[in-house]
This record gives sequence, structure tokens and C-alpha cells, in this order.
Amino acid sequence: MTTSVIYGSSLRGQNVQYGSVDPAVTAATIYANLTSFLTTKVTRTRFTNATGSTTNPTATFSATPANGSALIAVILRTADNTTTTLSGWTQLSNAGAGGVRQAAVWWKRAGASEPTVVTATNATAAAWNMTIIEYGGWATLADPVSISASATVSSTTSISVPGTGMMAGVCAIVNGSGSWTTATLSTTTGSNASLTQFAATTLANCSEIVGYNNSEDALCTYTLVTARATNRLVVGWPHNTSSLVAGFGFGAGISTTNATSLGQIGFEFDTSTIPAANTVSAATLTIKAGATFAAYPSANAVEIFNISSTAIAKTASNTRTVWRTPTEITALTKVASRPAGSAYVINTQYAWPSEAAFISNINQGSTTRLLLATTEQRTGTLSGSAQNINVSDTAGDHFLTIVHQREVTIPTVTATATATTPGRVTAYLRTLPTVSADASPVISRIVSLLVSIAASADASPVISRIVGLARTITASAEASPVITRVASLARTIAASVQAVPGIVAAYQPFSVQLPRVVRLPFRAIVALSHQTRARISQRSTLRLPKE
Amino acid sequence: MTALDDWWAVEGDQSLTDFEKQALFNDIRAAAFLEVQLPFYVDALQITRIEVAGNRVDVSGLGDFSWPLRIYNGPVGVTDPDGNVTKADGSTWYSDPIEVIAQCIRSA
Repeated sequence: MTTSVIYGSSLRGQNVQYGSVDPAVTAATIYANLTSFLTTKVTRTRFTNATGSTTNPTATFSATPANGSALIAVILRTADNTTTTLSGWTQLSNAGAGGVRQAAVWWKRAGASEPTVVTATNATAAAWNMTIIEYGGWATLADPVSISASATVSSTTSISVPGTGMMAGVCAIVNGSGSWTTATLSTTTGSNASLTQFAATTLANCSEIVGYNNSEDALCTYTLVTARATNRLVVGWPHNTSSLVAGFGFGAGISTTNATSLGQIGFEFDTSTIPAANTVSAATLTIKAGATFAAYPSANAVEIFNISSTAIAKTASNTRTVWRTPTEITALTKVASRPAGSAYVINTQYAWPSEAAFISNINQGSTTRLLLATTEQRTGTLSGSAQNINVSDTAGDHFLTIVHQREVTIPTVTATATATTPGRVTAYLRTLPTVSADASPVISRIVSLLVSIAASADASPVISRIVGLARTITASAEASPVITRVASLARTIAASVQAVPGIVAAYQPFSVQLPRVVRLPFRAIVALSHQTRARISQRSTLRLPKE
Repeated sequence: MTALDDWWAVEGDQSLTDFEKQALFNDIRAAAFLEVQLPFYVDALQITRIEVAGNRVDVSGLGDFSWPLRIYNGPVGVTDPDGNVTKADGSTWYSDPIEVIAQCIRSA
């Protein structure tokens, strides 16, 4: 048996959504929309692009935005004297500054009677480009966040947009006066990447706007031929981002008031050191709580599932390798579970009680990957209060303990041996644990015969010289050898023994009714119950019966 | 400097690759575990032998346990409220391989 303790090699916590959500939206609503969220994601309803050189940029939606839609406004200006503002909207991102070249993105949650006309204000007339976009789908639940903003990016012909899990995004570029041509999308990589360039204008030499939708780990590159420095910024709804919070560690579970914690956690252990031919008899996962904060669900068990078929990307990936929907979790094998309301103290390690299936879900000879989720994340039914857990963000703080051994199956062999005249043997029928033996060889010299018998034995050899015969018997033994000389005969008997040898001299004769000569070892104690003649030497004690 | 201090210094060194870090972790681990005075006891078990090879620490002993204990990628210390080494995040640790072995044994 071997006990292998394997410390974690990789750890990842993923949130299904990053950033705050509409305060009126609960986790229950989010869960109710999971299917559409993970499939259709953010949808772009409509957009309008307008350009001009007036004081106040303005654009008009083709129809009244739906109540609850997320509205995005991208404003680009050159040689502006002050920052352009948009009343009633929230600025998400800004690159550049008023008076030089400015790119800014604003957003707003559409009301019940949202105006179709959007007007920004500024005190100075200058070239501008303004695009307004209405987003639906997941965007009706979650707020957009700023993803990146770069002021005065050096002149370049190629810019890669980090599309790390963005469901929808807006990339805006502005350059000052100077010559440039229309930018074009040139490259998309990543699963399910889908890009749409929905606005492009070179009016007033000031702006280019690119919108795109993508899924997981997409990278969008567009080519911009320009002799001038540019500003760029990206906003959107990234998903599958890390659930890591400094000091808190990786978080899992569901908060009912917002979606900032819709996380699950993946653990990876290198179990290649457990040979595939070994039999695993026990497996236990030990998890460590966060370094400076410890949360544990009061009404949910924290369950561990096998996701060995899915590699957990360590860094720089937003692929949904960890996070699972309730339907997907239900299809997994649960290998461990810790009850709701269990103790959970900062910086403390806890062994998760294993399910019987754990031992068969250790990926021997390869990597074992496990998913941590709460009961409600499996069932999809929320308990009504926040049910969160956090774990240390160091992979090596968590470990897997596996007890294993190599078991060899001995094939059944049927064999027949015939030995009738061995000249000299060390032992014959020495230990018979469960089988019976019947042998009658002719042996000239032997050390022991029928030494330890747990089964039945029947031996009648012809032996000229032997050291021990039928020494320890716990079963029945029948031996009728012809022995010239024997040192020990039937010494410890726990069963019936029938031994009628013809013996010339025996040194250990306390068994059957045979006349004998006893030679005692040094300082022996002898109890005699019958009329006996004994030769005593050295300092032996002889205790005789009263008669 | 304790073994844990060395460990955390490597852990926080952004100039090192993962491969280089693992090699340094192995060196720190080997030095720490091979300094342990044998034998010692963990509950009713007597630890009689420690061998280190790469990222693996083999521990043998006497008593009712599925020997050997093999620790892969193990640390050189454990967190403890009374620990005498403080990490940057404020947590306290014992820089003690014996505690690591004890923790592994008790987890089985």
C-alpha cells in the first residue's frame, strides 16, 4: 500500500459574469436566463452612426429603445476644446482629452419611454463622430464594463483587440487631422469568434468604430493605415472571467442580490504518478480557506465533481472550462460533498467527505480535474440567501490524498507432482495452510516433516534421519514414518495427531505413550506426571508429583 | 531566512518561468526535508526515513499506515495561527517539514 499526497498543480475560479448587474436584477433572474445567456449572449438591436463638425454631436435611434436595453454611445472628437458630455448617461471609458483628440464611451439603461434622439454637449464646434447602439439579451441584465483604453497609441497599421470572452464590444478609434484610410477587420481567432464591423467613416478624418460579437477566447485584429497616432478603447460584457479577489481568494456560489459572485472553481492534480495498474482504495480532497476571509454557505452543501475531460486553462484564458450550468453539473459524477453550515475558518484546511465514486474517478496515469460548486448551482433552485464559499488562490494549498496499491491476480494452476525417492530434502510438507496432502516418499535425510499443518496431512515416508516431525499441528495429521533418528516429534499439538514411528532416539518426546530419554536444555523446568526417569544437568529444576 | 521565506521569494519572482520556479521549489524542499532529525513521531506512528527525489518526498515509518507516504509538489510549511513566520498577506505559518508530513498523514 502507498499513500500519495498530491498538491494542486493548477487552480482556476471563473465567474460567469464579470462586473455589476442591474441592481433590480437578482441572481434568480440571472439563473432563469442562463440558457439564453450562454447561447445568444448579448444581442445588438440597432445602431446609428452620425458625423459632423457642429458644437453638439447628435444621433437618432431608428425606433424607441426597449425598456431595459443597454444603450451605448461612442463619441469621437478632434481638436476639441473641452470634454464632450452626455447628460443622463454614465461614462464608461475615455481615452485622450478635450482639446486634443478624444474618444469616449457612455452608457445608459433605457427607460420606459426612452427618447430616440441622443445629444451630447460641448461649447466648441469641432469634427465629431457619434455612434449610438442598443443592446438586448444578456445586456438587459448586466451592466457593461470598460475593458481597455489606450490614449495616443503609436502609429501602427495593426491593432489587436483583447476579446477575452467578450460577448459584445465596441472599439473606438480616433486620430487627429492627417491622412488615413478606412480600417478593416482582418483577423479573428478563438472559438465562436464572430465580428461585425458595423460603422466606419472617415468623415473629418476623425473616427472609426468597430463593433463585434464573440464568444470565448476570441482575438480580433484590425488593420488601420494611418500616419497619425490614435486613441482606442473597448467596452463590453466580458464573461467567464476570474472569480479571484485579492485576499478573498477564488469565490464560488451565488449571491442573490447581484451577479458579482456567480463563480465556480476548478482544481487540477497531477495524478500521473498513480499507476494505471494500481487499485485506489481511498481518495480525499483537502481544500484550504482564503487567507484573510472565509465564507461558507449556510444552506448549501459544497460539492465536488469530476471534470477530468476538460483541461483547466491556467491563465489568460476565458474559455468556459470551469463554469457549468445546472444541467451540465447534473451530468457530472459527484465525488465529494461537505454539508451546509460546516465550520470554515480563515487559512484552515478541510478534508471534504468523499463519495464512494471518488476512487474510481481518480484519473490514474494522467490528470485529475475537479469542479467545486454549490448545491443550488447543481439544482438551479436558489435558496433565497447568498450561498458563497471562497478558497485560497494558491493551487499548492489544496491537495489530494490517495491510498493505492498494486494488486496481482495469481492464476490458478493445476499441477501434479510425483516424488517418491528424494535422497535428501530440507523440509517436506512443511506448511499446509488450507489443502490436504498425502505423501509417502522414501527420504534418506530430512530436516523437518509436517512442521506446521493447518490442514490435514497424511505422510508415511521412510526416513533415516530427521530433525522435526509434526511439530506444530492445528489440524489432523497422520504420520507413520520409519525414522532412525528424530530430534523433535509432535511438539505442539492443537489437534489430533497419530504418529507411530519406529524411533531409535527422540529428544522431544512429550506426546504419545513411548518410552523415552529426555535431555533438557539449560535451566529448563520439567513437570513430570508419571513415573519417569530423567537425567538432569547443570542448574535445572525438577518438580516431582507428591506421590 | 526560513525555508518558507525562500519559497515565497521564488513564488513572487515574476522573472522566473514556471519551470524555473519548480526547480527552485524542489531544491528548497529537498534542503528542508533532509534536515529533519529522525526518527520522530506523528501520533502513534514513528517516522524513520525521508528521501527526496525531484518534486517527491518519500516518507517511511512504523505503525498502522499505508506506507510509504509519497508527497508530490508539497510545501515546506503549514499555516498555523501560532506560526512564527508571517506571509505578505498576513497569514502565519510554521516553516516546518514535520508539520507537512503530519498534515499529510492525518489527511489519509
